[in-house]
Formats: sequence, C-alpha cells, structure tokens
Amino acid sequence: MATSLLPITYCELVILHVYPVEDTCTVTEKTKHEISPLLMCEVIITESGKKQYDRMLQMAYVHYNLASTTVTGIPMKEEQNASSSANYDVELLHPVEAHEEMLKSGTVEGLMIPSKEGIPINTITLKWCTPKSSVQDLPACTGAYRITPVDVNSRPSSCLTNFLLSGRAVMLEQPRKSGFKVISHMLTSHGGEIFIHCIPTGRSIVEDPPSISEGPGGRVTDYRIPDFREFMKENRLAPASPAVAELANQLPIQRALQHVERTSRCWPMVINETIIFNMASHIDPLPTLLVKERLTDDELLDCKKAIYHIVGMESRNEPLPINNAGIRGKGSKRDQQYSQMWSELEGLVQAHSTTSENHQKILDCLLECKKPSDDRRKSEKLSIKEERSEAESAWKDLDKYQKMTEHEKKEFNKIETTDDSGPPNKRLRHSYTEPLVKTSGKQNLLSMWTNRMKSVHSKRHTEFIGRQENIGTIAELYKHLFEEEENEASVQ
Amino acid sequence: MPTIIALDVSLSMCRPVKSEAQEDYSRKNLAIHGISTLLDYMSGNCKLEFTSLVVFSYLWEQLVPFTRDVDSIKTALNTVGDFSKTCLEPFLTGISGMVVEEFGGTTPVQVVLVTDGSTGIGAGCLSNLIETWNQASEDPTIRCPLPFAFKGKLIVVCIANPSSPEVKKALPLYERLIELNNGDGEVILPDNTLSMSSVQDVFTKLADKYYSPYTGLLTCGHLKCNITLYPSPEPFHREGEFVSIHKTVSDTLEICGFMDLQDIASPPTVSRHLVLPVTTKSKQADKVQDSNGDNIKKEGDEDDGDDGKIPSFTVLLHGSLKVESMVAVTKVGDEWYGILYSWADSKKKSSLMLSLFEPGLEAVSWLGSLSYLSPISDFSEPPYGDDDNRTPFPVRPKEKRSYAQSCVVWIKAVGLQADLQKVIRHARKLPDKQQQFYKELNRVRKAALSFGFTSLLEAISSMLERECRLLPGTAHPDAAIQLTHAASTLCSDTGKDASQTIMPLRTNFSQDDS
Repeated sequence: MATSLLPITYCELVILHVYPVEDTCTVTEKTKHEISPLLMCEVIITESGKKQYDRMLQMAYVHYNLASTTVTGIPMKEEQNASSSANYDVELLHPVEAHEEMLKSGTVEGLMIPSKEGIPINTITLKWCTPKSSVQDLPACTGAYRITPVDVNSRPSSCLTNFLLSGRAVMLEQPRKSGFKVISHMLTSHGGEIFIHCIPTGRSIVEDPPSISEGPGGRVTDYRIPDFREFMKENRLAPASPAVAELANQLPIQRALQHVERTSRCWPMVINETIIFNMASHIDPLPTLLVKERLTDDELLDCKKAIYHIVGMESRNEPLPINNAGIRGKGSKRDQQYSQMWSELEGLVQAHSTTSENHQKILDCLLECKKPSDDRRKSEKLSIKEERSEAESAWKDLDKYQKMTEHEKKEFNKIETTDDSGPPNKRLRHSYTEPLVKTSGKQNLLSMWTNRMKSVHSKRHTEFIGRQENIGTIAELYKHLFEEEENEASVQ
Repeated sequence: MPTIIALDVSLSMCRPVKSEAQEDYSRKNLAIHGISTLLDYMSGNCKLEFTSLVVFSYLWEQLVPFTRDVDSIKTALNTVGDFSKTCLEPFLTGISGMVVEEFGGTTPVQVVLVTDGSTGIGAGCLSNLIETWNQASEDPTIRCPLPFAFKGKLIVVCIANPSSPEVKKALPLYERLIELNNGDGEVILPDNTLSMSSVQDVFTKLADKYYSPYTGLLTCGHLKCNITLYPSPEPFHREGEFVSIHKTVSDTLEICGFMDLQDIASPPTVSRHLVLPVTTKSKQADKVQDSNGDNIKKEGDEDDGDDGKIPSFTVLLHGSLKVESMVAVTKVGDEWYGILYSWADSKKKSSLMLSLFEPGLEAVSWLGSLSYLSPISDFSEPPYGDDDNRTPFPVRPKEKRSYAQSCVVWIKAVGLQADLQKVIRHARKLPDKQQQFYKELNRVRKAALSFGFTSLLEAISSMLERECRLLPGTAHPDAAIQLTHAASTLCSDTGKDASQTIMPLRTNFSQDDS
C-alpha cells in the first residue's frame, strides 16, 4: 500500500438492490447499521426506472447535505399558446447552508412542503419576485451556493435557467404569517453558473454610521478625487490564466501589491499640497511613465522632453497653475513657486530613481536641468542686485542694524569680517527678504548702503527690450527690421 | 457585536456582602456597579455597539431593547426589582428567539450573564436542567436551548467569593453550559473576596478581552491611514474535511488593487465592517495621558477639533470608490481577502465598508483564484479593452453545467416524448429541414445507445416508415428517399454503432448538387 495515500478511517457501504418493474423483490431493506467501527452498511431496495431515480436523488441529497427550494409563481408563456401565460414552479437543489438562517429563525413553518417533483424529500417554497430592470449589486449577501434544477431540462426549468444565464437576477421572497414579505434570497448567474444568494433579513448592526464629515479628514474639500479615480483604474486587477501564473516567479497578487506601491510613491492627497500634479498638461507624460517598471529609450526621451519643457517655461517666466486660495502658494513669488515646484518634481523622480537605470537617468537629467537653473537664478539675482537701489529699503536695513543689540551687532560685523563664504543674510535674524549682496572683503555700513541703493535701483529699472533678448552686453538694434521683408519676399 | 446583558434578579442576589467598609452592599448592587463599569468602557471605546438589558429569575423580561444609548440601560438598572428563584431555561430559550427576530441568525451576539453562583433549587434548577439536556442527543423530545440559534459567546460572570462552597459546586455546571454552547464562552470570577473594586476588576477584564476595539493600518502602497473597524472582526474557524482553518484579521489591511462593482457582483461574505479613520494624534494623546494625567488630554481634545482639516486617506478612497462604482480588493490576512466599497444605509448616508470573504483563495469562484489577480499593466493586451469596453470577468469554469447545455434527460416520459416529437416535426418538413432532422435523429440515437435502449431505434425506424407512407402526393421526392434511408440505417449495424453518425443520403435532389 502506498504510504502517500490517506488512510481510510471510516467507510459507509450502501448496497442498492434494483428489481424490474412489476416484479416482486425477495431482498429485505436494512437500515444503516454498524459492521465494525470502520464500516457502516445499508441495504436499499428500489424498483427500477422512475423510482430508482427518485431514490438515488434522495441518497445524493442526504449524502451531500443538500436542501431543496421550490421557486413558485414563475410567469411563463405557454408553449402552444404564446399569448397566454401561466405560473409554474421549479424545484432547485443546493447546499443546505442556503437555508441556515431560515431554519434558525423558525420562519420556515408553512413554507416547508413535500417535494413537488415526487422525490421523498421536503422543499421550502419561496415566491418569485418579478425582477426590476436594473440589478442592484448586493455586497451584503452572506452566502452564495450553486444550484441545479431537480428536473434539469424540463421546459419550466430551462426557462428559468436561461433567464438567469442571460445575466438577470430574481429575488425570492418569504411570505410571513404577519402578511409582510421578506426578501431572503436571490438567484443569479456568474460565469455560466447559477447561484442562490442569501440576503440577511435581520436588522443591520452597521445602521446609522457616524458621518464622514465629522470624522478625521471630513472637512477637507480639495481631495484629488478625479486623480485618485485614475489611480484606481491604473491599479485595476484582471485574472491571470493559471498556466501563466504558475510559470511566473511571483504570484500575480504580489505583483499587484508592488504595482500599487510603485504608483503611490509620490501621491499628495489634496490639491493644495502639490504644484506638479496641478500642471499635468505640462509635465505629461512624466508621471505616467515614471511608475513603469522599465522604460524604453523613447520613453526616457519623452520624460526628458517634459523636463526641458518646464525649463523652457521657467526661462519664459510663465506663471505656474497655483491655486491662489491655497495656503502654501499664497503670495509667494514666482521664483519661489518654481523652486517649490522643482523640489517637488525632484521628490517625484527621486522616489522612482531606483526602479531602473533609465529612471536614474531621468533623475540625473532633472538634477542637471535644475542645478544650472538654480545657479542661473542666483547669478541673475546677483547681477540685478548690483544695481538695485531704493532708499526706503536701504534705510530699513540701516534701521535694523541700529536696532540690533550690541551683541548682535558685534556678531554681525564679526561674521562679515571673518567669514565671507556664505551670504550674510543667512545669519541675519529677522533678515529682510532681499538678501544683502555678497562682496569680497570687508563690508561696512557704507558698502552696505551703496550696494542696497544699487540693487533697489535696478529693481525699478525696466530692462531695455533689445538688451533682454540679447546675450552679452552689446545689443543689436533693429534686429527684426528686415525679418518681415524677408518673410514677405518668400511669400511672393 | 451586539451584547445582551442578562442580570439575575432572583432573591439570592439580594444577599448582603459583608465588607469592612461602613456600608453593606447586596450582590445586586455589586452586579449593577460592575455592569456600569462595562457600559462606561463601551461608551468610551465602542460607541456603535448595540446593547440590550434582560433580567431573569423564574421568568425573564427584556427591560431595554437593543440600543446604542448606554444611559438608558443605566437608568433601567436602577429600577430593577427583586423576583423569585433562578431558572435559566425560559431565559436561554427566549433570548434565542429574541435575537434571531432582531438580527437574524447570522449576526453574532454576545451574552453576558451576571449571576451569583446560586443555581436555583427544585425543578428547573441548573443541575436538573443540565442532566436533562445531556440526554438531548438520545431523546429528540428534549430541546436544549444551547447552543444559541445565533452565533454567540456565553460569558458567565459570577458575583461570588471564589472560595465559597456554593461557587465550587456551581462552577462545573456553568462550564457545562459553555460546553453545550459549542465551547464558545467563558466563566469569570472575581480574583478576591467580593468588593466594589474586585467586581469592577472583573468587568474591566471582561471589557478588555471582549470589547477592545480593533485598531489597524489601512495601506494603499504608500498611502496610509489608521483605522478601526466596527464591529471588530472575529477570528475565523472552520473544520474542513482535511484541514481545520483558524485565521485572524491582521492589523494591516493592504489594498492590492481595484475592480468594478459590477464585476465583483454579489460575492458571499462572512462579515461586514464599517471602516472608520482614527487619528494618530488622539492615540498618542491617550498614551501620554496614561502617564501624565489630565493636562495632555486637553491638548488632545483641542487637536480633535483640527482632525477634520487634516486629509485622511479613507475619505479620499471612499469618495473615489463611490463616484467610480468600484471596490478595492484588500488583503486582510494570510490567504484572506475582502473588499472595500462605499455603502449607503437606508438613510442614504454612505460610509466606507469592508466585507470579508471566507478565508481562502477560491472564496469567490467567478474571480478565479484570488492570488492570480494581476495588475493590468502585466497584460500585453489591455484586459478591459482600449476604451474600457469589456471586462475580463467573470472567470468561467471549464465545463458547462448540465442546465447550460442541451443534454438528453429521459427521467420522465415527457422528456423522451418531447425529443421524439422534435424528430418527427423535422421529418415532416423534409427536405427543407434535412440538416436539423439528421442532427436530432443522431442525438436521440446516441442517447438511446448509451442507455442500452436499442428497442427505441426500431421504434423510431417504424415511426419514420409510417411518416413516409403518410407523405402527401405533393411532397418533394427527396423526402421519401431520406426517410426510407434513415429508417433502414437505424436498424443496420451502422445505426447500432455509437461511434458512427447517420449521414444524409446524397441524391440527385440534394441541395449540395444544385
């Protein structure tokens, strides 16, 4: 005997003696009795034909712990006369669990009758409810069990099964003594199989739940719901074929978890927390491509293009789509918005940089684009600041200096004298928003004053348009004078 | 889960408890004090729980129907009177019906039975009852009220000195009660002699064990939210044919992906739970409060006012699921899954709900194995179509069910008659229905051969010959030829070989030739 097989610890032997119709039987029936602790025996006698079928059906009913439901009052057109309709009953078999709640609650009284199909079993009658056009999904159902009609292909049975297989659902109701009706079951099909669903009939203990708006996060109104809907669609699931799934290194559901992880790495929940996700048209397709596991070289190029596009926007000084009502974006200057946007974008790309080599390349590209622009911004600021001059603000600075305590002054000057590696404004407490100019060597009150005047002057000053467009210090005049003529010439 | 607090109001509960303190208490006073402790715990930790107050002696009465209003129970406790002797039978039978009528048989309900260890005297005393119930398996006329008709624990709280001889006698009886309830429950006694504080400890212990709310973390990748579930998820036990399954819900609920509500259809679920966000802050505040007293709690309270303004993932998720009619497939434990969706109660107020499938990967047959659910990005062809116009669900079983195909069923005479009539109907319309005629003929023939019903072939043969004789003069000549051919082939060796098929006779009139 093979040791890998499960040992038999209990056995029921049923001997079915079948004798021909109209013959007499000489064998006597024996009820279930013990032959040994391992073996039970039963002798069943039946006439062949219809009776044999009924008896065997009953045996299956007992052995598989089944129960029977008769759906009553099914309206059906008559075969011969299509204009009139009559009501039919169809008896179904299913696991006994589908009746569990009814049996417990004792509501089956009066509903339990002997099988109408003539099998020696009892059946519970439930009334057909004419289905509404739209089937409501009921995630509240407590059980779903496969059914089979007792008389598989009779006309009423196939009429009911075809109706259900076409995707419709039928509710079944229990008439109660008190008169009101309770819907306790539903018949419907999934993937070509028909199920009886149990619907809880009692009071729900989750009724009257606390309102969401009173709970945490309930008063936030700018959730990125449209974006999360997209997120959900990207993270939809579909069944992998078992053949494919078994070959894969990882279970598909693990892959799904990883996909959710990847796509959620940088996902601000509210509109106010983000700039980059509010400018989707500008950074597309960067966010969608980044979450991919692998990037082709073309996709890498597309990502880089998106970054260059933003660099272009910044150089043209285009406004960012910032919600002015927002808390963080409020009142901040455009260059601050840009630097905030850049750091957010860096966060996004950084989060995905470890996925693959090409992802890393995007980060490298971003850092390259971002860094020089940062430097450029600094140098621009510097060049502008040289010329700035506004008496008021300079006076303010001076005032501030005067208001300083002796200790602070000492410290201020000390920093100026000993350390010129960083801009002094970093060390100035309550420092004015305009940074002081970094100059080589010692800075004194006079140099501060003149620098301030210079820089504030330049702020007032609008740059000559010709010079703006030009690189270097010398501007070519009337640059576009001949362009038009050339164009006209070419048209002609 | 809902709770029935069942208080023994028999006269023995009025016995005073000797104490060193100035005042003397009766056991009933102690019991009421203990129950209040439990109620306070519930109103602090699980506000949504339904509780009902039942008193019993020889008779029983539901004083307060199931309610979330803890104060109404407290008020009722103060008006409880004293009645006759303890008898558990009517009460145990009665509450089964009461609960099933209220919640149906599938909602678990906890029964906290508060008594004093005196198990009654004479007929109807617990020892007699148990003796009778023990014979219930042999004598079908005896109806044992346990196990309850609903799923539920029976917790017996005994307000008595653990060392008293009365209790020592009662304890095995109570334990037998629990056994009769399929072992679902517990007997709890005070650790020390009876006093206000020892009874309070008993109920605090009970509350901690059975009413501590679930706390967990809902994750969707990097999006996270601390949550609690109401009702708390119960551990799952099932004895299978080959394995027994014991699973508990993990404290991390991981969203694996999303599906359309329509595709998930109406899956069978073992339980449903409201998903309610909790703030980490208030939790922290509670923790600090334990060591530092009241000051910190005030801070926590102030923070609560701002909680509504701090974005919470559950709110985002709920809103999106609702608009899109989708569900989030969520892993709640090892090989145990559930779905999160937006659910609206009768008042149209919607909330985030978690429904738990039965543990196992095949919990919903039309989704296939749950571990084989893949992210759509892993498919070369989009499973939902290019513009979301199809769906990869349901997963179909390999075989069609017998009711979904036209198999031959001749259990009743009607079935056989209908099949034969079909053959004759087509025979009368020859040669137009030639193809259908031969198809039906072969179908019936093969069924008859597989049943060993060879005499049917001869019968069909003679029926066809009769049809041939009755053909009107206007009939197409091919009709007679085909009928004769079919009738004779049926009785030939070819006709009796199940592997053969009777083919139409090719004639000059055959449609193929024209």
